[in-house]
Amino acid sequence: MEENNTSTDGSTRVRLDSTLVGSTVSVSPDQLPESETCLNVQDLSLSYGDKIALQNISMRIPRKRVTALIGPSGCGKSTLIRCFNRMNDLIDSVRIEGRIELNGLEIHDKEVDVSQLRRRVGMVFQRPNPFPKTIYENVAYGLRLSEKLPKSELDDRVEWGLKSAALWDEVQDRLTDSALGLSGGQQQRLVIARAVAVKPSVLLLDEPASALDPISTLKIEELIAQLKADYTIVIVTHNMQQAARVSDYTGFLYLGEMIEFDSTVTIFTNPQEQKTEDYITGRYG
Amino acid sequence: MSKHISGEYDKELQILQTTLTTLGGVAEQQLENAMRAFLTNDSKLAAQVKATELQINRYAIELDREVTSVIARRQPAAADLRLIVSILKNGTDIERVGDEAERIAKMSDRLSLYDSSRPYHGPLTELYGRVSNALRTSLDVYARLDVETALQTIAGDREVDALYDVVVKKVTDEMTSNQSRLTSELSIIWVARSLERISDHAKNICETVVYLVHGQNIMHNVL
Repeated sequence: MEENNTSTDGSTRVRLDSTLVGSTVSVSPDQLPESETCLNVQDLSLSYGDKIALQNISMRIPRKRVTALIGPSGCGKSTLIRCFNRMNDLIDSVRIEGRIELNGLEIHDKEVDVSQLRRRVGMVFQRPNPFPKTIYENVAYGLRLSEKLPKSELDDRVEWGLKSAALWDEVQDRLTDSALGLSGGQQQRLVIARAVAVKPSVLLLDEPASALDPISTLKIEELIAQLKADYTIVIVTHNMQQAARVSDYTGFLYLGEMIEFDSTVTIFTNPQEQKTEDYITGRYG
Repeated sequence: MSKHISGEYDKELQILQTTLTTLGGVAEQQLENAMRAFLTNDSKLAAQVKATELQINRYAIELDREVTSVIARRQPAAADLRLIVSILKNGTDIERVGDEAERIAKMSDRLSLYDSSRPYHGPLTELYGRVSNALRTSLDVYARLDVETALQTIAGDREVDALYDVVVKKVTDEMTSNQSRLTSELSIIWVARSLERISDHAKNICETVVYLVHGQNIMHNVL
């Protein structure tokens, strides 16, 4: 499941540059070439017992872009994001149909090691959940599980992870302090550092800033903008302005269906579906 | 379109639209009064136009303030965002229509007596008729979101441009044959120029109708 960043057709097609275009991307994900697709979701349906949570979702999540999933509570946003690293497998009554390809490989194939998959697809939850260990150990823990690294290299990777999560400057002098002593915003960035340290392809962020104050929220959003240079990011958020600020693409889910998936610019200026329009303009309900 | 969950938001947008409609109505009246003042050498009416221009400016400032407030507090999206953008743009265009009307009124001061027997009179009054109609139609189609009529009005701007060229040609011919009326005939060109610009503003307003309804920016023929 390695990233493939090269164009398959070798054409001189102009490639969107995230550093230039940022969240002003206006190309529909359907118009992007196959080679720029990281997660390819095809006819995905999911039910918990008799309750249908997702219905025939098809979408191509672009590589090294931020994709936001929005929709009212219970619409299936978190269920969908949890499909991408097979977190729903942990639920007994769940039934999943359809395909999800990560860089071309079907994640439900028998030969896929779910632990490996979850290293490739990191996840950050609403509430910061650092381990009750030191700051250093929080980042090193996952690395030790996945790789046998000499101490000096481990130190370098911890530093790199913390720098990637824009936390190094704040914690470099207290790496042996308990992570539980950090502020909520710092804890969330520590959790992101932990996820980033194992070098995943995809970062799933399930309402990563909803429990944080506005300044910490802005730091997380700034971090997302930096991380997308290296990772494909999928973020679930209830905050539509946040989706508009940080994402390149936005999907609107309603009652388990993907009503509309398009560039964030299109979704927030000229959505094609009335349900999307009603939701983002506050006419829903 | 259905109402927002927030009734207050609906009221705020309604206030913006009402303010814009009022501004448009005043600008339309300004154009009519300015041209009447110019064509009939009515200095009193010209003075009234100049005084009313202050009223338009006040409306425009109020509209800007209200739009800024709604953007800051509501963060409008989709159709609401397009509505706000169109109100802001149209507010500017209508305010500039007011400026052009004032300019026409000022021209009547420069003219000792408008001579309707001159060859440019016919094309000039026809130009005024078309521009007046375009402005009225643009405000009307914006209120009714009538894309089809908006596109027809946009296309009509080419005829206005052609008529403007005719007026300029007639006036310059006059200037060539008789230079004694140079100053007064220059003012005819300025009035024609103002009318042509008002037509451009009407065209801009019609373009926002397309943007508002379809989300397409057709300015400068960019589709």
